[in-house]
Amino acid sequence: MGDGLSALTTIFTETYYWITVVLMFLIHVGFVTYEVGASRRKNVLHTIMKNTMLIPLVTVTFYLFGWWIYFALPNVPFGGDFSDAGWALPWAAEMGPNMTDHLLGVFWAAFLLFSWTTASIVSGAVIERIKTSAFLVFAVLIGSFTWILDAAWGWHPGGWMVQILGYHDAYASGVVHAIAGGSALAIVIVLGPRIGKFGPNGEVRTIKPHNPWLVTIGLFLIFTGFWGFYAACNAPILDLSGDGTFFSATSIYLTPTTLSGITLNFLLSFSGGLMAAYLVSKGNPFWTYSGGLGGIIAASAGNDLYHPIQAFVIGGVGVVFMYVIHHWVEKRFKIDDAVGAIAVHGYAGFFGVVVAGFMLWGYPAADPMHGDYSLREISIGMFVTEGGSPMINPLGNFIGAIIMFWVLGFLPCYVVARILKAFNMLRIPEKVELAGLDTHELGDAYPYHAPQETEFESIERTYAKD
Amino acid sequence: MSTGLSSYSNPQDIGALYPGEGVEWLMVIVLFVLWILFHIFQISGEEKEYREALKLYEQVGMKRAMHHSSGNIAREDEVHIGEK
Repeated sequence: MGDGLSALTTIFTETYYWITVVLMFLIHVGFVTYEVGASRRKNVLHTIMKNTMLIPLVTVTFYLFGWWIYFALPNVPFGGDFSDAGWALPWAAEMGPNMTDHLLGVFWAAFLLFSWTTASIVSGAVIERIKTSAFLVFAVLIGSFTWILDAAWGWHPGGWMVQILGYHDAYASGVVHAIAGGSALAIVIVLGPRIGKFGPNGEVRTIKPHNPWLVTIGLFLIFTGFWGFYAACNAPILDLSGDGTFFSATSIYLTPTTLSGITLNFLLSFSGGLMAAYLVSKGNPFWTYSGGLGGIIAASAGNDLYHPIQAFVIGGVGVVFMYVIHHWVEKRFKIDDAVGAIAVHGYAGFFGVVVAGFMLWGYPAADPMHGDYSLREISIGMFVTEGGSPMINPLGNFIGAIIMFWVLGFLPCYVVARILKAFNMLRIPEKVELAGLDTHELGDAYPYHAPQETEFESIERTYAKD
Repeated sequence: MSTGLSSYSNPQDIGALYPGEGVEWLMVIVLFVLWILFHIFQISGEEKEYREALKLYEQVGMKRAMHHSSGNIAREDEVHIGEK
């Protein structure tokens, strides 16, 4: 920080990221709230703990190796070698309070909150039947390894997906949401549905949330925390001219945008999602609120650049897509996603990445980075702008969406789930599931309120054998 | 092929960032139409909902309909997750 301007921009940036971390905490208040509301009364306390404990675990593992992955692996395997990121290793002097660096800690924390979010998305889909130990293994895998690897590839400006494919995903439709959705899908396939969820003829039974309006409040808190997520995906102030004459916020790719512009797009895509979900679900509160989130996620890949009305339409269309696909998958494949996480994050995220490839076709994905990108030299010109920058294009984004959802999302979690299942480490015992996760130890979460048996619980009793 | 900008080399000269600069009027018309369509569909859906509610209450009787503590006398799928 040689001069006053430099000191101001540095301390401003430090404060900016710190505030985004605080706001993003609300995402996790929201996740816990909505998961707990969605679960049945007999599972409430266990559900809180399952979700909560990912926080310290992902924090520790992200400190140990997740952060290093982002800076060391953007070029691996398709763009070059490991990059030098010694300063991101846990024993580096920079990874503690250090007067030569004001930004590493808050930037690390912003990425940590993205890590918590990616892992927490999966948490809701698997409630009421996964072992906490199994979920925590997935939390580390997703939160400190697969998502941050996809960020190294598809978010780091020098990542090979950005430089070679022209992949563009400014607010993480794919980098966070599609990968989390793909992970959740893999886990619920191996885990199986909750007992009684599907009838003998394959009919889908409703398992009611114990507190439906707590679910919607939880989602509303997630909306609030999402503002921090969006702000944290930007660099707040950079000198784009190189000579101190033009400063702007940038996207994570260091391409120009404004906080003002993304604010418009956040609100319009949110509104498009809410309105579309309200109509398509006939005013169902859970799906309407989920649609608000789904709308933002569907437009996130290009919300640094879209016109707000484009964001509105993309948010709305994305939500209709996710709603239809969710119900088809549920019926056709007997997938029990307790909270619709695969739809809101996975399908909407995938859709968002693909759409951005068309809507932003021709835009520079990032500045060209120096290095040995031999694949670019054999490109047919589809991936490179006239100025030599990697170019956003539909094929690159489509391939990117496949990598996010299936290759880094679905595949690793499917393999790990199968291994855990083989060692009987994945699912809770059947009798514990029927009696409730809290029954044997933590007890009733509402001890002063007499329980009422719902129609589903009457059906559930028929599965109990002594 | 380019839907908008193809270079950021002179950022101080860039105005609109979004694709489709020049056809904002068309986008505004689309938004206006979608706004009005939302009201039309919402009104129609709500009227249908109340007609069905009245049919249900005629079947079960108002005494039963107003006995809230029994919980599930109306449709099972009133507020739920995963199905509609």
